[in-house]
Amino acid sequence: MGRHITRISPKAWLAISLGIWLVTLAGVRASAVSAPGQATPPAQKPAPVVNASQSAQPTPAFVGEDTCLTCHDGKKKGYEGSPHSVKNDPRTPAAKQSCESCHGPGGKHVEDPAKNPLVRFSKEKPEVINAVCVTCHNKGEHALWDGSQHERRGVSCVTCHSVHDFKSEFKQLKAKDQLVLCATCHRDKVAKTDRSGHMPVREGKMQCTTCHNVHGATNVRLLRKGDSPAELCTSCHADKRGPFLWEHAPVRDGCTTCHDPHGSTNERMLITKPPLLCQRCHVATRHPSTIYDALLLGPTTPAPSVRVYGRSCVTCHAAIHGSNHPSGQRFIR
Amino acid sequence: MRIKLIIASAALLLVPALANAQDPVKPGMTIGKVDFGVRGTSTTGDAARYERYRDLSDGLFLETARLGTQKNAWSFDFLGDHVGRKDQRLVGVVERQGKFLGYFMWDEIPMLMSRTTRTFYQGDVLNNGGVLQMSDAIQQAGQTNANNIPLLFTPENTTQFELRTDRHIAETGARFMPTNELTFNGLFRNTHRVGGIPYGGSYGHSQLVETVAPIDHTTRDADAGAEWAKSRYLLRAGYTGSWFTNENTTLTFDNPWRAVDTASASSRGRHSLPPSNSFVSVNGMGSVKLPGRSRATAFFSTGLLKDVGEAIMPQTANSITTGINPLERTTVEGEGKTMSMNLMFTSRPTNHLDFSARYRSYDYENRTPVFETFQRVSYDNAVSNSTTPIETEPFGMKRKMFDAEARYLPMTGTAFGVGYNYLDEERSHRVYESTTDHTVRVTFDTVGNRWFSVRSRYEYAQKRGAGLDEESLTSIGEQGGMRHMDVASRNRNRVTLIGIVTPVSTLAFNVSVAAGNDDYLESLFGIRDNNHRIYAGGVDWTPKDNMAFGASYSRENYMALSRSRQANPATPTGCVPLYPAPAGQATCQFDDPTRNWAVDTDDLVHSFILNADFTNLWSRVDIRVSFDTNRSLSTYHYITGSVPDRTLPEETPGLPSTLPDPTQLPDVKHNLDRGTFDFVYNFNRRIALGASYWYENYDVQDFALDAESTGNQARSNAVLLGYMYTPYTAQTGWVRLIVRW
Repeated sequence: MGRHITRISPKAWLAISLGIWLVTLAGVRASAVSAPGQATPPAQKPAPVVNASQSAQPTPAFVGEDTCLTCHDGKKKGYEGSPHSVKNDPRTPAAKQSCESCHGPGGKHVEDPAKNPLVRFSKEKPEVINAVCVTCHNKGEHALWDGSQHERRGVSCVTCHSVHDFKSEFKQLKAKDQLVLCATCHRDKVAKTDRSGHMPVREGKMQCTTCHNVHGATNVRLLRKGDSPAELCTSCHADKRGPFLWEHAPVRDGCTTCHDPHGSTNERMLITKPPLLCQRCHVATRHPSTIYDALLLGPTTPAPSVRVYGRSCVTCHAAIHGSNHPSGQRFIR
Repeated sequence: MRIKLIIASAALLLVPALANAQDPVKPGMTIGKVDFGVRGTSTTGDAARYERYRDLSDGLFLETARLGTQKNAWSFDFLGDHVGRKDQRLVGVVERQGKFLGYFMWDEIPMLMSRTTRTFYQGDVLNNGGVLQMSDAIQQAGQTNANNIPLLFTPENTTQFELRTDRHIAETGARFMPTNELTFNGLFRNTHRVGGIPYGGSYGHSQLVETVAPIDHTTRDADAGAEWAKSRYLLRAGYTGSWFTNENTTLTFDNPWRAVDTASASSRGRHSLPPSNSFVSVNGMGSVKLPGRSRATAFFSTGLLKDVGEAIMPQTANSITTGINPLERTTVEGEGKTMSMNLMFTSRPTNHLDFSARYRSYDYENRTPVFETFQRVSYDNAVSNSTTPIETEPFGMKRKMFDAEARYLPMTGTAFGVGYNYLDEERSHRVYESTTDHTVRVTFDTVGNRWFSVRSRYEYAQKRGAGLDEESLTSIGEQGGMRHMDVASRNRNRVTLIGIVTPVSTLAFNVSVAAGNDDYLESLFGIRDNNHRIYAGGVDWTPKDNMAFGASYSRENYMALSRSRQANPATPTGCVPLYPAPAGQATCQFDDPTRNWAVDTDDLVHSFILNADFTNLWSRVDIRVSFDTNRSLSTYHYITGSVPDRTLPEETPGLPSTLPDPTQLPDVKHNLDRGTFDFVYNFNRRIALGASYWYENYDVQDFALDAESTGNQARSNAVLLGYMYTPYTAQTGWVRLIVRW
């Protein structure tokens, strides 16, 4: 029997969402009240930006890396040997004030650590954290961070990266690889990479950033190449780029009309099985609008229909992405 | 094999010397790691699917090689993964940090689809050069009687082959920073893909043959750019070029049911394969920081897509067809021009308010001239002439999008946002001249809180088409009430919620919910609605620095309903296109709503993941264990007559169906279980011994692609390759030596 699917009206959606927000807001306000014995740290201004013109020698406001390490020796781990610690590169913290380049001058903190805490990236609000990191990381891959989808949703640099305690081999991520990291928020997309039809992501030949620039991009959906989803896809799948004599409209409009790029249980990562996929747009007479039910399946059926099994519609309509055959109107050649 | 032996031997020879090296790392010293050993795999069932994009063949392997050295301010690194294998990646990097980075990468990506595919076509089927031939005797037997085809499909008469492609990528690039402000970068990539993919071919509705399309593609990409950034300003210019070459732009394939050409039937067919092409674009971007923590960015790009001017292939491969007219032109003259613009403005004037606005436009001008013909040769068979022109439809589009959002931040880390998005799309040769999509969204985020974070979003969108051209549907025999899903009017509701609760610093619970529905309210035929419900939750626990545990579960449900009407034209004879028909007459099936049907598709997936990591146990042992399972169930439910709860006002509710009750399709199941165990014992900081074990179990029932349906490869009306979904159970075990220096 057909399933009964309850449709929720827009007003109901709004009411449910508003309810969730109100409950959460109440929780946020309650947690803002200090628990017994737990001091709320005073609001901190962002650490002063240390620019290259400042002397690398400790000034009265800066105490130097050695002083920091007398108490925070464990923070050498991860930092040492990382790009941040390369003194030869004048852009790095190591070439400037080392720890204090990012965490702020330590002069007063050394005198009274409790009263003069420095910037703690695990506790600061995203705008403060991002402001520190983009002092240097504001070009190339990161040029479009301001106003990007992640930035506007309160994702900070330390949501994904760690200077001192990273787990990945590349890019200092907080998880061992991108799949694990991105699954924190995009679980459904990562779960799709486990489907039978998938890109070689779980095999390690591709990763999320092969297609997406998570720091900001000019293309939609943070796609890193091209100016449309199709341009991104055809940067690798150039055989689908055309231009063709006979074009198939959804191919030109967007690959995701028919394919799920993250993964699918259907062959060729299609969003659903042919012929049902094709019948979503083709209802002409004869075979496009025929019901292909189980009576047409093999092997005992007298005349199993190849329109249901195997490659289905594209057994005949093989040139489905476009054709340059003079009689290719129906993509049969 | 010899290469693997050499590499493994070289690595082994390094061991005694390096194991004794106890000196601390000094500048100029080479550091690195090699991870090598021996591996074996045992598989029952579809070993090809287990491997797919990997090379898991038995024997010696060099899993990881990392070598690095520094001299003065320069560093030199080599990174190798799966060295010597079909899925290897080798990278060499030279860097002077802050000044120059250069690299070379060699990457191989196999795609193994099947080892059991079989075909009548002879020779090296994968490297067929665009020609597939079978023996004349088989063609003659098929021509005599189609029932001979399944009888002749025997190992003696067929070729078994490994269906695969291999992608080899050679890439080199450099980044040069002569000053802190200026960066030049360049990249060149050569991608060569060889092999074959399953393809189709037919000679009529009852003569279908699966073929192998040859893949011999080369894509050359060249990117170059310059960026200048100083103080508040950033300027960037870039060039992107991509040239695709296909060595086989046609595929000629013999017909199993015909040995000799006749005027109405051909002994072979000829496909058009993707054309060689190029796409070149240039772009420029400028960005400036403004007062009030604001930034304005402008991006422009323009590109040109062209084919290489190959001749259009002849109408038919049939040697004796006559009456073929010359084509109106000899080449495709394929060309498309793109123009794109992106303007962005963000501002944070106070600590409690921020704004963003974006305007994006994308134009694809299809400059391929319309191609007109008055003839068609279907299946390389007979010529069919038309009095009306048959014309191509060069699809083009113009997209304009405006987005604005404002956020109010009442307190640290908490933000309420309201946004609006307007998308206008004009398309040529589509059922709607244009569509507009209005979206309103609200967001609530609270982050940076020690106890929990929440990100939530709700959006409501309305898309409407304008300039409906219903005649473009009816003129090609489609129902006038059909609306193609990518342009159809629809209402959309979507909500997402992601929450993380951390009651203590070592424990985190996460939950996410996503739900949405698309209502294609004006579509009498085609997709009618599209819904999804996704629920996920998980926990991560790190009781100590050297232990981490995680568990997560997700449930995804995707549902869609689409409608159609089963009909044969001009049936019954003398019918009228009216419903209800006048007395004494019958309604044509095409116009008869009692022949409506719908299909309700439902994809439900459960995923469960468990993992545990132990590092530095007893100062020497690292253990990683993980298990994940994926259970997918797809159902396709046919409904004849009207559909409860989704009946349009125009549709007569309760109209009885005159179609026979369909026999429902079987459910489709894909179940995948994967387990991994990795153990490393560190003798000291230089030498470690490791053992790993992988387990995978894949179970599948798929009415379209399992052995029951496609196993019977040769029938009187179809010859298939035998590419199918087959269950497998696979285990891979390996022992490794890890050397670090």
